[in-house]
Amino acid sequence: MRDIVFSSLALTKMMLHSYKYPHMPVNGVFLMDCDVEKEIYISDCVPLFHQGISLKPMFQLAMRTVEDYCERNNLAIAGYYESPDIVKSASPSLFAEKVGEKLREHFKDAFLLHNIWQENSKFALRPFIKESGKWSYSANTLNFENENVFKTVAELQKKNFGLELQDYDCYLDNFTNDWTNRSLQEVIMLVDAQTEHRDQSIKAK
Amino acid sequence: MEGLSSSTEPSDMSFAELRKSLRKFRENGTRNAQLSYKLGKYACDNFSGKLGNEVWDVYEQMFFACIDLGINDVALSYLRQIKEQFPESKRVYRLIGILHEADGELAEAEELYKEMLQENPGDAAMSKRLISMYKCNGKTVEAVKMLVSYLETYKCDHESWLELAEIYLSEYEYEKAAFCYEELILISPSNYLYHQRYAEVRFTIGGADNFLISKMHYCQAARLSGNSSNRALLGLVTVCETLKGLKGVTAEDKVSCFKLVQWAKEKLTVKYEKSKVEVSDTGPKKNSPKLTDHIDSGLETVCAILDSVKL
Repeated sequence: MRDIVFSSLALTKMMLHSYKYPHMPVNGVFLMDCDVEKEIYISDCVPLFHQGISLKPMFQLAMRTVEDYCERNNLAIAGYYESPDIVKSASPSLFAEKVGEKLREHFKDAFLLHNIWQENSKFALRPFIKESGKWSYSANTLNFENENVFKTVAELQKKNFGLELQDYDCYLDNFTNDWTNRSLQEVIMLVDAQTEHRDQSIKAK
Repeated sequence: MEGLSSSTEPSDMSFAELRKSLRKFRENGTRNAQLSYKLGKYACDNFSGKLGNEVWDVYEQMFFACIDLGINDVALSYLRQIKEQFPESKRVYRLIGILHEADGELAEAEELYKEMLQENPGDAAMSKRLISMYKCNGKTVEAVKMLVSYLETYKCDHESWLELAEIYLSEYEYEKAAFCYEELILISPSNYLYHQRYAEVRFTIGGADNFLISKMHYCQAARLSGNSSNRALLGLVTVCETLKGLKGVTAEDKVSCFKLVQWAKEKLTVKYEKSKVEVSDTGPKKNSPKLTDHIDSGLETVCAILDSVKL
């Protein structure tokens, strides 16, 4: 299987989604750039819901909308993330596994990301891929395009940009809310360029 | 990064605005720790005299914000001040229990709640505290047992039925969750949100009978919301599309689906167009077409569904 590389845009949006709704379960999908062949490049992420996670109607509608969006922009849905409000297990939920199965019908290397608070008070991003018929934890799967992506997230969160993130739930409340988060994208790219540059200039010294 | 901040600065607000915001958060039970803490701290540091007796409500609000932010020592300082003012208050004991929980002292918290409940078994707030604690620590069976027993006494407590429904949904016990929403609809039949959520649960369970019930409640939700609920309209479209493709659905029902879909299409198109205008008006002019992309893609997906439902 090719390596999975997360762009800062994708990872930042996912983290900000959790920050915006800290006491609620959140989920969303990862979009991969179909033009990139040497690796699975996750160029973007669509945060979906922060309530009613295991209910089908709006979830199905959201997935269809995102699929249509992907088709128009030469992207594909490559993964699904969830962050439950109450941690019952270190493995993905039944619902996540079902979504993963559906995603694998269109993209065989589809993965799951199960994000939970651990006993040591660390927020863990746990990737799972399906091998030998079951979903197993795959530590090596998490690669970041920018090693300082978490600094980007911290900067944005400090300035409360987490509150600007719109997920599909927000769009359902009011159609003017942009689930593609176009305006937030510019801010994320700007801050990410700064954190990447800062580290490089330190290394150069 | 100056000028790029998206926060609300309390120093820019008048005392009246600060107080109004804090009151609104308390009334609505809004849980936005960072903002509450920032505004509340500023208000307490600069206007404690003007707040008068309201300062105790604000201190309690700050306590909760601190717990959410994980600054338990600061929470304790607020709790001490409240306890000094109200030494025998049950409300204060609840806060002590919450702090125990936040510090991970679950055994102490459980002991405190059970002791208070033994003294006063009818204390609803204390029962809810214990139920929440069980729920948050994975003791789902205890939480459900206690909540069901609580609801036998307090049959009309919306919050508790909603909580029980959420627990059932998280365990994929959809039929039991549906029962909770049925109770909520009986208590409050004009609340479109309950009809909407019930329709979603019935849809999730699946099967022609459940889809028909779902359709009925989506219609009711749409009607009660004055045809303005996006979820009800979109849900109606989705469920009608599903029914149209199913065996065992009568011709009469299929005709009804077709008519409902046409009706929903009309309402949704108006809403989409209105949203597009609103976004174009408020967005920067140079990027106008792209800004409404997310609305266009939503409309396209829905139209594809709508067009597929034929007589």
